[in-house]
Order: sequence, then structure tokens, then C-alpha cells
Amino acid sequence: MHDVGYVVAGYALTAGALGGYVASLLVRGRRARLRAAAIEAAGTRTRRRP
Amino acid sequence: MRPAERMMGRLAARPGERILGWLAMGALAAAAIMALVVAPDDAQQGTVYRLMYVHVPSAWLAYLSFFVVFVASIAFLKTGKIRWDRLAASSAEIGVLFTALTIVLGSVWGKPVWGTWWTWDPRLTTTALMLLIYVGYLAVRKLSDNPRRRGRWAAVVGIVGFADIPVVQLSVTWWRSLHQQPSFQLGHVTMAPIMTATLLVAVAAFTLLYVYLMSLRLRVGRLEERAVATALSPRLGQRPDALIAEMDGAGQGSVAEPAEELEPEATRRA
Amino acid sequence: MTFLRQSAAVAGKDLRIEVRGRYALGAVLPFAATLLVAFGLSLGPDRVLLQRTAPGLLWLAVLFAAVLASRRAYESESEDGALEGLLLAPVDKAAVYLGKAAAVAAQLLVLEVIVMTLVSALFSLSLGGNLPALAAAFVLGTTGLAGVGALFGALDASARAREAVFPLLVLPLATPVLVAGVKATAIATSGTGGTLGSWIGLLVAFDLMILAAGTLVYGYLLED
Repeated sequence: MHDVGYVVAGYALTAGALGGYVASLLVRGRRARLRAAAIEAAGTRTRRRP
Repeated sequence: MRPAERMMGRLAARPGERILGWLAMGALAAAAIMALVVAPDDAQQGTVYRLMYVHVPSAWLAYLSFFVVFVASIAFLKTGKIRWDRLAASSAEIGVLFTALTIVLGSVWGKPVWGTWWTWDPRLTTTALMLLIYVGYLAVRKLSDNPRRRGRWAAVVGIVGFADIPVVQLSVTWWRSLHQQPSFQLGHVTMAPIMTATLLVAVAAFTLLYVYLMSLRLRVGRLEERAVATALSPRLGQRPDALIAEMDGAGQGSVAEPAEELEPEATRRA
Repeated sequence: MTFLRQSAAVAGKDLRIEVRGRYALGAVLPFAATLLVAFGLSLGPDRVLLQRTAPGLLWLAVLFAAVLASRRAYESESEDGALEGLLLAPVDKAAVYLGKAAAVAAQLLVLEVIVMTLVSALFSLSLGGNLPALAAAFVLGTTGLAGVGALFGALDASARAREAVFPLLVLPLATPVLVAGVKATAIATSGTGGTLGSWIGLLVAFDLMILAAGTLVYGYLLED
């Protein structure tokens, strides 16, 4: 009966890995978007200076 | 729509991507219910065999991902368009995830069935070697910042690696078959029709998941390329969207084109 | 210049560099010898165990030697910027690949003769059994290793963190050579353990695969 533990572990691992990967992708996307925006903002600021 | 604008539009998550995500989750939930509740216990392995419903689809996705890497790598070498390299890199990353998952699930399944976490089973061993090859692929991508060189080097690994897999599989299977194992193999499950159906549902759900993950990963790839292009554009005298559009569509020619692009862009926007 | 002539010219150049520099003999061979002694020490003095593991240890030493030799084949180019010269020359890139692979294979084969006598002594492995089969296994296996090394060694020329990437690539890809080479050697030296034919066949299949693939993609590696 403790074999069920293995099944649960396997499914939980799968869910965790997939969910974790999706989350990490969303974080990466957000970071890239913010970085691009920050660089652009910094660029326009420096260009305005005489 | 000019290529640059079309490109920018693909940076935000489109409704299609979100729907795909929810659909994939729904399919996975359905597969899980079938695998854990609907399908009966196996005659030999009891309830443990249910790990098959996550292990086999994972393995299928690993091979699918690396096949996509193979095709995309060839396409990149032939056309030089960065979108193929982006496709290859995305699929390789996802492939490594599923390969690692396949191995871990195989090991978790093997412990109650074999008594140990690892027995050099030919398919698991081949999967482990596949993992190493594509980890190597991802490592090669770190060797250069030049997108074209990086893409070309990675493409060579993607092509040779995939061509090698059948030979590796054959050699490991022959290597293993010299020692007949009395205990049953992982895949040895006598399949009742309901089990086959459940497995097919699981495979379909995972495939849907792959499409969603690729869609998401490709978008993230475009966002990251955009961040790099934005950082480089003052130095190269080109607007970021022009840089990206050029890399995405133009193909040949170095990224650092002279600043002629700037004039027509500026007058058009004025 | 015909394709074959071009390959021969590249191979000849590489071998001449080796003869003058004696890297294979001077550094790779001692490394292989050290490796074998280390294997012997780590596995313990039990003669029977060493005898059984000898083919495996032999091929591991050959594998590492192949990594070093392939790396060296490209280091000598990048040092003086000779690689650019090679790229600009009107030579078929595939001919460069095959020439380099041939040179690496030749160096390894010389090395292997010496290493085999070492293994024979250190691990009590009798080489007599089936000499033609043994030779075939080593020639074919070496060709395969040289094929992988000459291809991915071109990647090695990048200055960045390549130390671990090159071996990481070569070892999994060369698995069929390792497996088939060891099995064929074990059968050839002990006379039992299975059919040689399938293992030799596997080596041939691998060689064809890697040389064909390498010939097709090598040009793309050198571009830029």
C-alpha cells in the first residue's frame, strides 16, 4: 500500500516541475520587459541633456 | 503592419496563448483523473504502474522537443534567420526539462519495481545520455555572445546530437542485453483498452502542454532579445525595433549595419 | 587540388606540427599512463578484477586521450591565427575536417599501441586472442573518436569557459564507440562473451554517421 507514496511523489514532482518552469518563464519575461523599458527610459533622459 | 510593429505586437501575451495555457491545464487535469482514478490497477505492478502515465508522455515530449531542435537547427543553418535559432533554443530548454523529468520519474517508478533507484536499464540510460548531450547544447549557447555564431554552433550540436541518438540507443540496448534481467522491465504492463486510452489522453495532454510552453518560451525569448537589442542600439546607431526586425526577418548580414536605417525611420516618424 | 589531396595536405600539416611539437607523445601519453596507474590504484590489487575491467579502463584512457589530442589540433591553429588562414584558403571546408580527423586518428593509433602494451602489463590482459578483430575495433573506434573530436574541437577555439564544454560534448556522443570498443576488445582478448560482428558493425555505423554529419556541417562551424 505504501506504493501509493511513489505515485503521489511522481505526480507531485511532475506538477511542481512544470508549474515551476512556467513560473520561471513568466518571471524571465517580466524581467526582460522591465529591463528594456528601464534602458529606454535612461536613454531618453541622457539624450535630453545638452 | 511593418515587420517591426508586428514583432512588438508579439511581445505581449496574446489571448491565444492564455487560452492555450488553460486548455493544456484542463487536459492535464483530465489525464490525471483518468490515470489516478479511472484506470484500474495493473495485474503485476499494482498501483505503482500509474507512473507510466507521466513517465511515458514525458519521454515522448523529450524526443519531440529534440526532433524540433534538429529540424530548427537545419533550418537555421540553411536560412540564417534568427527565428529558427530561437525555436531550437526554446525547444532544447523544454526538452532538457522533460528529459530530466523522464529520468526522475523512471527512477521513482523503478524503486518499488526493481528495488533500487537505478539499474542501467537501456532506455533510462539512453535518456540520461540524451540529457547530457542537450545540456551540452545549452552550454554551447553560452560560449558566444554573437547571435549568429552562437546559433550556428548550437545548430551543429543539435543536428549531430539527434543523429547520434539512435546509435547510442542501439549500443546501450545491446550492451544491456548481455545480462538478462529476471525482474520485469519498466514498460512491461499488459495494457487493457482503458489503460491505452488513458495513456493516449496523457500523451495528448502533454503535447498540448508542449505547444503552450513553446509559445510562452518563444515570447520570453523575443522579450530577452529585445532587452539586448535595446541595450545595444545606442552603440549600433539603430533603433531597437529595427535591430530586432532585421534579425528576425532579414537573415544574412551582420547585426551592426551602418546607421543609414536611422534616416528613413526618423523621417517616417516625424 | 582535388578533395582528397586537400584532406591529405591538411592531415600532413597537422602531423608535421605534431612531429615537431611532440605533444601527443610528450603530454598525452604520460597522461594516459598516469590515468591507467590511477585506475589500477583505485580499483585495488585484485588481479582478477583488474583483468575483467581492463578493456573498459583501456578505452577510457583512449577517450580522454582523444579529447586532449583533438583540443591540441585546434590550439595550434588559434595560437598564431592560423585558423583564419585556413578559412581564407580556397580549400573545401569538409576536406579540412577530414584531414584534421585523419591526423588526430593517426596520433591516437600510435598512442594506442603503446597504451595497449601498458594495459597488457598492468592489468594482465592478454592481447593475443584475436588480433585482427582487436585491430579492427581500435581502428574503427579511433576513427569515430577522431570524427567527433575534429568536429567539436572547432568549438573549442572560443576563449570562453570551453574547458568543460568540449569533454561534456564528446563523452555522451562517443558512447557507442566506448560501449562497442570495450565489448569488442573484451571478446577479442578473452575469446568469449558474444559475437564480435555486431559490435564491429556498430562501430562502422557510428563512423559513417559522424563522418557524414561532420562533413555536412563543418563549414558552418568555421564561418565568421
